[in-house]
Amino acid sequence: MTVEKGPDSGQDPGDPVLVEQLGNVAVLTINRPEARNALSTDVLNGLVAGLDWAEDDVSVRAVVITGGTTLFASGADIRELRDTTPSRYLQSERLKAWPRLASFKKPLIAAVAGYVLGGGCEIAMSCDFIVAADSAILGQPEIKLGIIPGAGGTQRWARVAGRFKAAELVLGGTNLDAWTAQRLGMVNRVVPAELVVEAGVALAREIAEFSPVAARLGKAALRSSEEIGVTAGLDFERSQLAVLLSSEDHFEGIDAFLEKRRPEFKGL
Amino acid sequence: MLEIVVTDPGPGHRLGAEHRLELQSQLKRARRGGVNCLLIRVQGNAWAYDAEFDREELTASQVSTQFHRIVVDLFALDIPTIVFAEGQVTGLGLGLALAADLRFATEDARLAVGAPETANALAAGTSWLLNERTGSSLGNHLVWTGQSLTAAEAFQLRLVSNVSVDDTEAREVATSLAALPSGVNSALKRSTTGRLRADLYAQLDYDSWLAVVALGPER
Repeated sequence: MTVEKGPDSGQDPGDPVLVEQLGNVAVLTINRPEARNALSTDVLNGLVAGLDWAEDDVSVRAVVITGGTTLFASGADIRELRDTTPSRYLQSERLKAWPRLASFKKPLIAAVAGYVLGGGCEIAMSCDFIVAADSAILGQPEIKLGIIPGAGGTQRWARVAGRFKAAELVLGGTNLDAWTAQRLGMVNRVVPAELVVEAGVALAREIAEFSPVAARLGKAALRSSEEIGVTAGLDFERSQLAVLLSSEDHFEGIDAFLEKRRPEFKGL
Repeated sequence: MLEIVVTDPGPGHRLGAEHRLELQSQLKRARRGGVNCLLIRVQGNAWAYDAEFDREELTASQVSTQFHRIVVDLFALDIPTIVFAEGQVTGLGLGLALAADLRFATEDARLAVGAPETANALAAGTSWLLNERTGSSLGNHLVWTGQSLTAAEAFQLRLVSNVSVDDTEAREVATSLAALPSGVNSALKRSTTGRLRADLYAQLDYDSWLAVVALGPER
């Protein structure tokens, strides 16, 4: 892949998160191979900074989070966790990453390979799509350390896979391969590990072709399904559609369909 | 019954882009309705085709749209499909033949995945189709050795329904199936392939990326 543009020309190859832009897709790469991409506070802060930039830059229409073709993230930085206290943990900077991921308004694609464990799995599950390498191993092994997931692992696994399957991961410390995760509906696509980042970018590019404002409101509607009841969810969905009916993209989409041409969505 | 005759355009042109498009267009016609059985008569070596790729430009999307699409179109037709072959059926040609419900062949027919270095199995969904039609032991053997099967061997292995001197039996079977109520054909076809389609699509999606690993730019 060629980097067409980077948002920060002063980026250091040793930065814990590398940020690059490929056309209308931003790629955030967790870059801590010496620690198996363990999610230190620096890594999480790097992700937050990358997401903040991507959200503000209108030329970015979708974001891929990856660890590269070998490894995604092996979990939280255990040493940081070892030395903390409950009050320090609850006030720590690292907790900012999770609501930031959850509130990110553009489509987020996780392109994951190798170990996708603990917090790494929780990052992936915070995204809208997961493209998994055939080498991916997903799990929530926190129970082996005498703790539990703290960034959505219990909640999201139970919703995606059902409580009983979630118990295998959260209480049993079992890991899942990519194919099993796909069968459970947790992974959208399984691809060769060598090409997982390219596959993630390819998917992001497909989505980036659609109306950004429709993607944003569609994402909000999808996310709401995890939070509110069906009746309220239907009302919310309807209201999002109503908003879109006044968008220029909506007219462009329908005109393009009737004129049998490709639409050009501007996000207005 | 819809009968498609695939003539042999000679080396270098078999199952090329133009011929694949023509076949896809015919399959679309079959899909539109009013057809109760499809017979594809493959003349000569019309389906002897090792896909070749521009390594530097190869993408998963290309493999998917240019090769897998046609295999899916044939596999997912809701009518019985029969292929009659009289020559070499290799590479993408084998994938297409396997995507059909029944295969008939003359004694001169030969079936092969192609040499492993061509990675043909990835361009045509052949590994999955072979494993599905014959079992993984034989399927893996054919993929890894590139062994060519004679028509008689293919018949022994139940890869072809019968071996004969011409297409008479294939036409008779196609005619009799075409005479069945369309509801029966549609139901039986969906019973035998419906639940497999998701597996095939998932496999082809994976294979389209594996084709880039095998045949794409050096990494």
